Amino acid sequence: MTSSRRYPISLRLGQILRILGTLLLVAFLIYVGSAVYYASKLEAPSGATPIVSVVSGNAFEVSSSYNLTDPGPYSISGLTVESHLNLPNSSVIIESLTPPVSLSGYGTAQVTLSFRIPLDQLTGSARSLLVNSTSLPTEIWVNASYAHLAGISIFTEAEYAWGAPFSGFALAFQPPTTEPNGTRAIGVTLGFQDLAPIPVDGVFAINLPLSTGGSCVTFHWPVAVASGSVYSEEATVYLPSGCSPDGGYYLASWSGSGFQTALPPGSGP
Amino acid sequence: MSPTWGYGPSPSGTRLPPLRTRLLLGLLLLLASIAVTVGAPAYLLHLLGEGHGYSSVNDLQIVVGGTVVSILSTAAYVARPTRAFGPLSAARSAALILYLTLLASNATLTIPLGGASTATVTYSGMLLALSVVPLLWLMSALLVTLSDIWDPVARLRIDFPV
Repeated sequence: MTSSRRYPISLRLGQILRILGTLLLVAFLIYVGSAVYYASKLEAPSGATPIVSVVSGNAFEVSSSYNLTDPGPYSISGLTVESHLNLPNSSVIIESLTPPVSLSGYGTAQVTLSFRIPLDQLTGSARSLLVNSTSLPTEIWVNASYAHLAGISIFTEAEYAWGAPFSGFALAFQPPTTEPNGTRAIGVTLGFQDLAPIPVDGVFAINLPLSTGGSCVTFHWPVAVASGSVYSEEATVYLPSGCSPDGGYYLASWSGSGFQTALPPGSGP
Repeated sequence: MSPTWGYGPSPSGTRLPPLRTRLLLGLLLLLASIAVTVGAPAYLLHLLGEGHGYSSVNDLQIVVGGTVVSILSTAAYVARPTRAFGPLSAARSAALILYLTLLASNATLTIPLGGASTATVTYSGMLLALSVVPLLWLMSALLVTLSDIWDPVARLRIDFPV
């Protein structure tokens, strides 16, 4: 009996394929096992301090950069971070999506998450962000493909501590007085704290309306306050002849430090 | 010599294990196979559930799929000295491909990370890549089937030499 008779080619090929499959299974199990091991070594990036800046388009930009490190030899590809910042008592949601980032084995990459808060679009209670420091709920989705094997999506919630540039903004009005020359005047105290990480240097325009509509008086109040500092000053506002600011509220707007915005109305004299 | 179905005398140049031995070892193989294909995944799903995790693959799919594959693997092992070995191996491999493909269509794990955080892992690509293994085994089984038709004793001389 010849060798070819004893070992037909189909049988040899079948054996080769069976052995190949078994070797592939072993290699696959080793690959998956080690990928899971290194995946367990992945650590969440430490919290970066957000940087707040004023950008063109009359907006605040809050950006945080995170350094990611791949602890193993398997690549992480298509890593994106999508996040939603919910403004207080508002349906306004600021969305952010990072461009895809890939990490080769043992590589590092930086992901920058940035929210752009357009001040012009802060309406209603969302405008209180200018005068109220608060925690803003944030939803974050991290999506990536790991080791060419599995898609991973991580969802988490966080709170972003928002520092208002005019935190606690308040105008206190004293009762109107009459000067010896007959001019009527109101003593006004302006107070707030700049809790945003940027200085505020500009001018408030404050309008005291009439109850019948229209404006009684508009006065301008320049301020220059360093980040974190408290501002409290008094001034005297002279009223035009025959004008009584009985509208019961004031309207304030800000122009300076690279942005202009209207503040929430407050109680007038 | 025409091959026996494994129950008759061994062809020349071969020494076939007795049926009783094959059945006994087959039983052990069946238990081990069920432990790997049913017990281990079911236990992992149980651990996942205890951690308030969720898998879109359910226990029934694992029990049915794992048991079918295990039984076919055992049957192929017991029938190894016979012509049924090739077709049974092919059936086992085809069942495994089908099983992996079905699991891949729904392969998602949701793992709580504490607080409101969750991780969702989609591993369908991994299962589809893994199905290359039974595909190779299927091709091998078909070639063995053809070989057994063409030269029934040749494989026995390799698998069960004297």
